[in-house]
Amino acid sequence: MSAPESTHGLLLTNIESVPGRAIVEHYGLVSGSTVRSKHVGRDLLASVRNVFGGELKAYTELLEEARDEAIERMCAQARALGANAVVNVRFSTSSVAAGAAELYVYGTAVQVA
Amino acid sequence: MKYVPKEIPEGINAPRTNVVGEFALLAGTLVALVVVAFYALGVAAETLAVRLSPEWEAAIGARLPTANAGVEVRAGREREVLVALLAHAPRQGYDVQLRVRCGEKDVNAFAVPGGRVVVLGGLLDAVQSENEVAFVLAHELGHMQNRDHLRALGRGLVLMTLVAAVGTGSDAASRLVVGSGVAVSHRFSQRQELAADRFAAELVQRTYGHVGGITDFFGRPALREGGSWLGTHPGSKRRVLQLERLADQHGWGTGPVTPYARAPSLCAE
Amino acid sequence: MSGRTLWELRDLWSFVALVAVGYFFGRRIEARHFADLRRREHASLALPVLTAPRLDPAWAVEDAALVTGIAVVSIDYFKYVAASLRNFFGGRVSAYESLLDRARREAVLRMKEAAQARGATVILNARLEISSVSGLDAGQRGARSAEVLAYGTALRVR
Repeated sequence: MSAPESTHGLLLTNIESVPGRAIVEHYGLVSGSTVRSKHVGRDLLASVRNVFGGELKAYTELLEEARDEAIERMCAQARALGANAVVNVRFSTSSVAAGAAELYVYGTAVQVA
Repeated sequence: MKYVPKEIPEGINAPRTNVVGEFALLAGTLVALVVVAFYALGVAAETLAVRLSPEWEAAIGARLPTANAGVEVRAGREREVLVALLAHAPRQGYDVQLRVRCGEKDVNAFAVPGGRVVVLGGLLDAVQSENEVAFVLAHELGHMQNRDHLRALGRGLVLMTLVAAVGTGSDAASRLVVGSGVAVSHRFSQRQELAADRFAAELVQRTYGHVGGITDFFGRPALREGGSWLGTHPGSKRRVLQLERLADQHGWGTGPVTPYARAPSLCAE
Repeated sequence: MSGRTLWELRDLWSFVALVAVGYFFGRRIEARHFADLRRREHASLALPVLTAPRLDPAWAVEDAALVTGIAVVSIDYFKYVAASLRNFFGGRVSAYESLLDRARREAVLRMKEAAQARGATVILNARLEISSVSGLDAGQRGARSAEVLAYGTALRVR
């Protein structure tokens, strides 16, 4: 429910910079994405839940897992470029199939002082 | 701030996985699950289905459209053979009626729940001996005795439930589930066919004192190959083999083959 | 008394054939595309793509324009079946991941190439929109292709 654990020690912001620190170098666009799916049992339960309303816990979990993994991948790319922060981060999701979600996160990899 | 161009390494967002291995594992697991589930549920469904009383079965059967197709046969060699067989067969809870669908060219016959044996015109044209007619009628009586229709009904319901639970879609996983379920259902069906063949051989032996000529049916060219390993019926070779083994086992012998030809008056009405 | 002839086997064989064709051709096409992507990415490395929306006030901008890149990449039958199976059991759908990676990289490259054609030196406020196009059959549960639209402002800075 909170911030992802593994960002490889990088700072992430979705404003133009890391407040209080100057950007020394930048390395361009980095992105992370993942496509995840829940098994049919959860799909079935979700269909039942669709009748009654309320939060679909299984799918929330699904998106959380996807978010964590996507961020981790973006940070892995940034790390490989020698960055220590990613700024101007944006998210995007789409559904590629019933019961599966694609999560995409992208930003600019930078080196801050 | 300065731009420092560097290449992003491959494999982070699209990690190299063993696609074939993963595919084989998933497909194999899915098929195995469906097969196990369907076998278990199929057996359970059959056990429950045969508890239906003969009166209910007759009532359901009478409403089926196939029950009243064709003409009823009350006299003639075909009826006489049936009556002879019935005299040596276990009692049913209902009267057994013989019907013929003269216009149908297929070589087939089936039993309708509630006591009707329906024979297609093509079969009567294809067979050349009364021994074959006796075998076919006895086979259908075997289905009736074993209540195979109720079993098939139970299995059909189970299959539909399984498919509905998995999700009706035309996507590949659903098709795999349906395909596997149908394949298992057909194995049950093949077992039933072989059981009906055994019943038929025993009944013919009891009625006529020999089993001569019954396997000639499987050699008729008009029959072509009626079964396959995934189909509802076992292959003809397998059925003939079973009958020959059964005859050897019990010491049944061959006997006179009475020629048969369909009487023109059979379908005249 | 007798059954039908072999239609079940025909269905099964056509399925297997489609999967095999999808596998052999799909893998080769994919490998070629990835190699092509790497080559073009290397060639366009000099042009940075930033997601920052704001201009550095120190820059002297000569030209600014919206540039876009679009790519629609389709899945092969083998991947489609593999993804469908994975959907059944849950977990990471690696078939779609590589599809989306290709489509995204292709779209960004096309955007960069459009910017390079204008002589731009940087792309600002880059964004990506992704959608999945389903097959013609409305009953399909899986996507057959991924469509990516990448857009940003290309600036030529002196």
